Amino acid sequence: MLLKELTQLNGVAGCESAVREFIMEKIALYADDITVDTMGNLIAFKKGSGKSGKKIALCAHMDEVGFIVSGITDDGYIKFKPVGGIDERILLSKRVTIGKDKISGVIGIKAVHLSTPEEREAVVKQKDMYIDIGAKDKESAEEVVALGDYIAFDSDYLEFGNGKIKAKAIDDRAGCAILIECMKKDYTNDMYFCFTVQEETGLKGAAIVAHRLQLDAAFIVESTTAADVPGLEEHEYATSLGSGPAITVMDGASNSSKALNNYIFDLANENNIKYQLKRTVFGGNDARAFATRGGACATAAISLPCRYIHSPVCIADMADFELTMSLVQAIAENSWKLGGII
Amino acid sequence: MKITDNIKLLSNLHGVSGCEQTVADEVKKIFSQYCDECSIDAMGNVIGIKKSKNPHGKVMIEAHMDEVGLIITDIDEKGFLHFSAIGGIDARIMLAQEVIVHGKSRLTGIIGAKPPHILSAEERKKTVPKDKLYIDTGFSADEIKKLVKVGDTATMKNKTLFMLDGMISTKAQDDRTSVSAIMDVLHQLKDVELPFDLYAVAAVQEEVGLRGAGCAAYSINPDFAIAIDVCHGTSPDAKDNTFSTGGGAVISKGPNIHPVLVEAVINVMKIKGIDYSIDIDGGDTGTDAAAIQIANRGVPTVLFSLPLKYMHTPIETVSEKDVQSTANAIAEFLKSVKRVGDVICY
Repeated sequence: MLLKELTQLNGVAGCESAVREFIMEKIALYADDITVDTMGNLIAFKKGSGKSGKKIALCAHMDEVGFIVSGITDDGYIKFKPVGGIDERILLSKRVTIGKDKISGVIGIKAVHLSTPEEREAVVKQKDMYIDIGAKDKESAEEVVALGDYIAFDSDYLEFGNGKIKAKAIDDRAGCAILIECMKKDYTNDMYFCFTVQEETGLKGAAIVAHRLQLDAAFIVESTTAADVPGLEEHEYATSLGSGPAITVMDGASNSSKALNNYIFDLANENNIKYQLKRTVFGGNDARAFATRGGACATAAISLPCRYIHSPVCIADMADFELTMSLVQAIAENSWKLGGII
Repeated sequence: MKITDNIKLLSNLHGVSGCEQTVADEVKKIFSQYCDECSIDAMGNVIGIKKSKNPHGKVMIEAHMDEVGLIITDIDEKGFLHFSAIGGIDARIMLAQEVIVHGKSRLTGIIGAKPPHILSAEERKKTVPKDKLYIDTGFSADEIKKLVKVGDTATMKNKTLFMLDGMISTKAQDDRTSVSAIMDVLHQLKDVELPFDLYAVAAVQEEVGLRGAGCAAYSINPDFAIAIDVCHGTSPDAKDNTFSTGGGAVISKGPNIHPVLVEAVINVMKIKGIDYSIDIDGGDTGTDAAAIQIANRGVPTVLFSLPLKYMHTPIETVSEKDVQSTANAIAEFLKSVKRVGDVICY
């Protein structure tokens, strides 16, 4: 299963090659042209069967949040820095893997018994944390770990609950899985499928893709926060699991094209695809890069709601995933109509 | 039989204090390979007896098999589970932790709380208290209420990591890895005729107040006892009063420990060249050794400890070498005892 395979790969921003190679293999049969650019973005082109109208792309990012090795202590522990935005409250006592050889490690914390009441109440700062790989000293650690090695969460893919999944990196391997599936079909319009790098470190990859392609419209297939959990009022949920793909009106980084959003809403209604509107204005994704760079184009974001995003235990709803897939499929199939819309 | 196989086997079982049955059944199976009799008492302690042909005394070796965990206290209208801790659990490690909820079947749960974007700057600096955490099982309220009820328990989800330099990281090593050490002692003594009956005990409910071991010691009434528990291993944020992993066995001294017995044990470690350190406790040790010492009319007791990093977390980490050194020390000591009186008389 694609989503399982994709979430089990490690592709921290700046080190997406394992994900890119996997995707290239999966799409080779379906692409008319494949480009890998200087940063590692993967751009696949699929020639349409009809007269091509606008220059349209579906986009998903390959990278995930993680860490990078920044030091090795004399007693053999790994110091690290975050790559992408990670809530430091969730890190303690989690398992990670380091580098290409996936060396196992754990983020340690001295026992509760040894901690003062003040220490127990304060959040441990990420810079004070360390990873234990078992090494007895620096020399032993240096045999398997080097400065600059990337570090990913160690978390398996699990189906549980009533059709839920748990995995790391659902953001945005879910988008990658959907794009791969979409590439298997033929479309009237020419289509670009962009698998970008370094979204989590500031929408970097998408910026140069936007320059290269000079698109008319970009549809960002993402994963986004679902905060439908205890302690919040319903208007604070952002999105809810089980309510279908979330369509962005605006977020902290860009505004979606009203024309593209109306196109999406119409397709959802025609095809009986349940969807929701994202009910916050914070955050941002690759849409900003496409909306503001390379001459700028119309953008829209279709996102899979995801609880505990940017953690080793992202939770998504498989029904939402299927609905997101159907909606993105419909967007691609009808993209020849966009000439009259944008 | 490899010690590491048993460590993996036992830590993968789930048995929070008071719910040790699954662990007890597995421990009984293994103890039975080496013992003439093995039973589970009224509290749930596993007691195996390796009988002597000509016994003139009884010796008990003990470790506890329960683990810290959670108990469900409420199921809310959205299906999220709320909980209390069983034993000492650090709220700082709980967010984004995977747990197994022991309902009608085993269910995976994720520990969550309010997401960061909704918190004030002040709230982000503070540990989320346990009563604000919840378990997300991915089920609706109607569905989960058919599977889980208030009073069901949850334990940390496990993955055993064999790391560099013989380090092993997994949950519940406090104190099941000591139970594995006992199994290794039994294995080493398999073909040895001892001059006393040897009682191997895996005790319940240590984490909630040393409850099982005292009862076992009362019923066995041994001439002396050796308890094994864990002590704190050295880590970058815990350098004082901790023990380096890989340094060998740790043996305690202090009022909880019988002064003659401990010297006899140390003497054997010296003769056999077993690496050890000494842990000093001014009061009681906070382990089952404290309960055993005052069981019945009193039991001369010594305590071995395995240096363990990140105690009471799902990533408890020990050195295989320390477990082996501890097992070797106990096996060699027991082999050296000709008459129990020799090692306990003032």
